[in-house]
Amino acid sequence: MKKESFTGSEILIKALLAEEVKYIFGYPGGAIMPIYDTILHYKDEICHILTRHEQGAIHAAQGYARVTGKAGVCFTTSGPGATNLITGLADALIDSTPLVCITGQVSSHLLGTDAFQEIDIIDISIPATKWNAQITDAKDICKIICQAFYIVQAGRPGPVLVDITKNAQFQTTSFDYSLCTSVNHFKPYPDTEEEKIQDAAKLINTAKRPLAIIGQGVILAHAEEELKHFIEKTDIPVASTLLGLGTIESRHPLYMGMLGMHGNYAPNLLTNECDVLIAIGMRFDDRVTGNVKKYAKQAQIIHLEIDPCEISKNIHCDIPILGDCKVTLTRLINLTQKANHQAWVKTFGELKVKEEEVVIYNDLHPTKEGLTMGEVIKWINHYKRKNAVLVTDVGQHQMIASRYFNFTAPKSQITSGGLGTMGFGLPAAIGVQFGAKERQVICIVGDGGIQMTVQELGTILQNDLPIKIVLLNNGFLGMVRQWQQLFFEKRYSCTELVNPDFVQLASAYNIQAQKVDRREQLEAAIKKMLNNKGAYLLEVIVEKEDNVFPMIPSGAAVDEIRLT
Amino acid sequence: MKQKFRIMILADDLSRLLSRILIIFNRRNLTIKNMNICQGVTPEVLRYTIDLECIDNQIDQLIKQIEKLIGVNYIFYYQAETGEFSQPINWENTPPL
Repeated sequence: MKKESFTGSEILIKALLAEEVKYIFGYPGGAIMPIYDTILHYKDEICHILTRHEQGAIHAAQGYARVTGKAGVCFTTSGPGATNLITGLADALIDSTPLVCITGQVSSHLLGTDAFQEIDIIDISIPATKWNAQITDAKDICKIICQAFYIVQAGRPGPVLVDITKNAQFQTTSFDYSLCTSVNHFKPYPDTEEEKIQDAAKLINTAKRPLAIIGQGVILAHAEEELKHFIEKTDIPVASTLLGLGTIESRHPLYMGMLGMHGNYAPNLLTNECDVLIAIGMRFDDRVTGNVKKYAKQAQIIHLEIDPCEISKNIHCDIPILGDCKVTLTRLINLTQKANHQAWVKTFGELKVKEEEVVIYNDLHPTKEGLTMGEVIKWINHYKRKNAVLVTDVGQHQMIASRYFNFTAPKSQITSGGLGTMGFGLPAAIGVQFGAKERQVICIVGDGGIQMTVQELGTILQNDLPIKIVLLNNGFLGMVRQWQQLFFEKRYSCTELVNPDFVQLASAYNIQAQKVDRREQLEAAIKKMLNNKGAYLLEVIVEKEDNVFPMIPSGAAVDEIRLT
Repeated sequence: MKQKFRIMILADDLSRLLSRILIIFNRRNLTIKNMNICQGVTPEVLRYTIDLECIDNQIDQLIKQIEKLIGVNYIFYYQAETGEFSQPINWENTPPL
């Protein structure tokens, strides 16, 4: 019997359906029109979200991927549509986010001729993707798409770009799809050496001052329960990187706070006093380590990691344990003994009291006239729903929100960590809301970052999304200004902003909005926002020249963390 | 101090794999001193030989990054002056170069 034949576009959409894709974030254009025409025929089975810019589409797909753990899918056209994806691809690569991006391309006979909207996106995107491929013949679509979905999720996740020429979208062929389970010579899950696990367990069992530091790898491996079991059994204090926040609830007695440049005082300081450092699913980013020459020199380092490239990349590791940390942690739990490190855990508490006295109390209960970012987060914690998702942009508000937000559920922190992409927050919140319809999405942005992708208010309007946007407005590019104040003798070069009326701007998009600049209005305004059914923008005018502390100055060691 | 290394790669015959390998060197501002690509023992496999100079602790990262590329089947390197191999080579399991 002759097989039924379909166009390349239909095959693509059928392949996405086979991969159980529910949402596509995208923006149409000339070279991807056949695919968009096909989407119309499948609109009951797959939902396309039209953003206002391709960067918005890819950040939304990232938000979706991060909150669901599934691959985010993004469609754009050739040329500018494709180049506008680069920031998002780079962000997804460095933050290990599974994304499948499909770009249209000019017909294959026009490749290399400088045709209208032609750019070699495959070569451009090589450094920003885990893998990419161009399809010039419809018969390759099934094979490449199934490989793409396998590769994005296999091992350490990352983005993949697939470029499909227009002729391949029109061409007809049969649909023959099967899920991919391996790719030739691609080994995403390295072998775990039993010996290393035994060595690590021995070290942990004899440790006097152990410290566990966790990253997003724990979330990606769905190993939150195993982690909790491990630290509770061994009584090891745990600190998290920015992307690992939410892995363990903020008020867990063994949770000691965030690591890194603007992290908490105790875990940073005590990194240089612990005797065994157990790094789980994290990559010793320079924002976490500060000066690598003075980082945890006294400690034996155990590193549980899925990507062999991360072993001893920045920090020399004594016992590397390769593999999926859900598996390796389980094996480690079986070999470790119940322990009690009460005195060691107490030292964290003492330092925390110091941080509270000098920094936290003033941030959360200020007496000065201007509002602080910290007190905004304090009231959000008070009125938010239990499993609310925090989505932030990049800058001072990101650090303050991450420091003070009360995380109670996994996958509650969506932010741009490694690349630090301003403009990430608002579009990512859109993807997060689609991925977690029942959860409350609180998007905290600064006045600088929101204006990089402010057009996505249109996507919120069109899709009637109940996102709560908290705009912390200090009239500055705050983090750069802080550095100018501390390290460039207050020369505020090009960091002061003249801002539009954000309330009117939101109103133009039919989004309810309110502006608050006095302390007595704040609590009621936050309560009103979080109880509001639809989208809401709350603009809070905060102190113009507040700084984020504690801080590890660039190039300093983690124990040189400054409280003021 | 910089040392001379020779990297040998066996890889699938894929378009743009060369770009992917080169980008790993470019990102670290390393220049290639000598390079050869030729067919391996079977037509679908290519053999890359790359000579370069870099500092000792860079070479491990380079090798791990190249090894991670989809399409790279086998990689090893040796120090050009001492002829020292990166790992003990088990010739029985090594694909014929």
